[in-house]
Amino acid sequence: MSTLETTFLGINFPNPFILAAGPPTANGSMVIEAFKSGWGGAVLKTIGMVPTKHPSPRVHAMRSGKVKWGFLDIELISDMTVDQWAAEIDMIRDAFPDRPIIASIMGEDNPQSWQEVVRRIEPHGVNAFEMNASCPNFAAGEERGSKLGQDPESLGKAVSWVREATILPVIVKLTPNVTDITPLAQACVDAGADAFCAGNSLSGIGGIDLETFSPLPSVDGIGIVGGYGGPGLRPVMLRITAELAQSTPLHIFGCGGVSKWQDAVEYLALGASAVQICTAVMWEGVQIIQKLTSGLTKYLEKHKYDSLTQLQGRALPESALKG
Amino acid sequence: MASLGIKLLGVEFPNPFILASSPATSDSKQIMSAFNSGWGGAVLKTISLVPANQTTLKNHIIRSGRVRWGSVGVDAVSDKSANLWGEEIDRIRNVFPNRPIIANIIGDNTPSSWVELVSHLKEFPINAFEINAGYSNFEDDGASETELGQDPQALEKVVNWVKGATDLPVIVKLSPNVTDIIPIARAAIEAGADAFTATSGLSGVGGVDITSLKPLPWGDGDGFAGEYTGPGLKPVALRWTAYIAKSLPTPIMGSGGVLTWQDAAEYFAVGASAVQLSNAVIWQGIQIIDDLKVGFENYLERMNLNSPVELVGRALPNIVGFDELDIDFKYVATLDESECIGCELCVRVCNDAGFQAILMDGDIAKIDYSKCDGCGLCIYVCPPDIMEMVPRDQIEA
Repeated sequence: MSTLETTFLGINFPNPFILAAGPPTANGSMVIEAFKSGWGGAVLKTIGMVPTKHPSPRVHAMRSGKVKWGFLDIELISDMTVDQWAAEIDMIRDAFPDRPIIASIMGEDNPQSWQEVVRRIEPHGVNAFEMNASCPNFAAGEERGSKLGQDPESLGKAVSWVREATILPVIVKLTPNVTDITPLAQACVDAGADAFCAGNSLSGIGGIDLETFSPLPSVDGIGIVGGYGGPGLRPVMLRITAELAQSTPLHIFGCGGVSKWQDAVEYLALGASAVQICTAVMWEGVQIIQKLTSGLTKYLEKHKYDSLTQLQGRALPESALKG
Repeated sequence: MASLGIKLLGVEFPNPFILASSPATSDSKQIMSAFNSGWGGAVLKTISLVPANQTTLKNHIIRSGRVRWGSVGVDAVSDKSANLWGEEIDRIRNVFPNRPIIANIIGDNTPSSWVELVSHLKEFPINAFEINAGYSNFEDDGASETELGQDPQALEKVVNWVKGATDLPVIVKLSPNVTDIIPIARAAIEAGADAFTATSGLSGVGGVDITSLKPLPWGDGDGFAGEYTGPGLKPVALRWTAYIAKSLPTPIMGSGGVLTWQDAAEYFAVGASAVQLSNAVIWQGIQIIDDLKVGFENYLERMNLNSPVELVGRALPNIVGFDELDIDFKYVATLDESECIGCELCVRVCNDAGFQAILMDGDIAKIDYSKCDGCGLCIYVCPPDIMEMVPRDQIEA
């Protein structure tokens, strides 16, 4: 009998389908509902010392006919404070003592902004921290967001600040908006990171309203370059997952356009240990977890894999296989 | 009456729909048949002094259900020699004396690989050169995966070599796989580039065959990444087009995921002066030019624009920084209750990924305006498409 259970980073996940940081993990009650449906874990919406407000509307779906293949958002990090989040995490832990909770965090170009979030969140029973060094939507010139994640030196520094503040696993969520991911990945490895999430959204323009000439989504007639995720991001993230798997020994959460169990198989086969999902939940709801887990279980049984680790990295060239 | 004709780089194009360098421009027969159908011009499939020896194209189409939205391919160079291409160009010119022909070219890190190629091709009646900077085998050491368009110094050198060998306009087809495209574009301009094509494909993996566990389209274990084009590239190429148009005066041809006239109009609105298409033709045939032309012409007329030129860059002032958005301007979702089919999809996604602001009232979805935060998610999941975002003050009034 095949199992979807998987243990890495010292964390036991009942299955490899994890909610990514985003609107579906915006508060404790939503995470509890998702855990009841069977999700393997959740990355909380990014927590920072300075919460942000959100524009309206803030999403736009790219479609061909009725079929959606891309999603553009212009939202930033959580609008809740660190202390509010501490209470939300307590609430989730009361209901689910063992389900993995990963806190996505974001700081600025100084140690305090990262370490203070870690110090205040860690006692509430999260299993790991995921550094959001890659949100593309911050204003130009802000020291938060993807600017940090595009420079190996700044990124390495930030990772070392978080590393120094916690004994929990540190995951770095990378941006695909770079010429070469490998020096960034190496800077994370050198600074003591334990895993990667590959990764955040591509910077993009979702479309233009051809009557008003506003980019979409249009906030009272104007708009910004936003974060492009969903299926259209998947080819880029599969490539980055494979590059990371070939060049570093760290575990990888594949993240980008997973909506079916087959997508998860692709990420695992290119070296990911688990997948994170956001857009598919926004389009279809948390109940998709049932199809994901039953489909993946049947696939493993059909191909006689006892566990996910037997599948991991199998699509990479021989020389790249770990262990 | 709007006319679709444009003048770009001193060249008259009967319309701004140009065939991109691709399998759709691999010989004179294809191109002449496209010109017969009314295409505005063509960029020849990448010509190199070292033609490809395989003719089988590795390509994987990415779909959701039956809808295609991406294509990942792994070879881009023509299997025809520069000599053969000279004859092909003559053949096209005999039939179409004025239709623009652009030669897409690639060399390596030696000046001769570019200069010899350009010197040979310029003897034939082409209108411009396009440097393929998305090509990844520039460094001939077999180890490096760097694209020419990822390295400003290398690109500057190449543009210099090409400009030194010809008086024809030189277009640089830029790579989208960069942290910042502006330094790359500037380097090309320094060396004399006359225009840009934005962009070539994203570096991507088409997928994995889940039975054989081979990456697609490679399949043979030699590699895994290819060039990802089609609709999925469009958001990124639109962004780079807008960035270049905002910072630099150089003309741009938009390229990436143009399947409809609306896609083309979007590229114009963010600063392109023409568009290049390939997947549209490969997937639907050259006849789509009729729909493109008619649709675009009708649109220009409806908007009271006399020419595509008047559309160029119209959206650029509306693309702002995050801090310029009015964060307190709130919309709410509304729906036409008489059309609601009671599927509950909006209720489900608002509950699981929104603000728990939609509930069923019998068979009809009802929006609780006290909870709706105006995120805009529900309007994209509604199967009959009857939901709409409206400013909150309109609802409250």
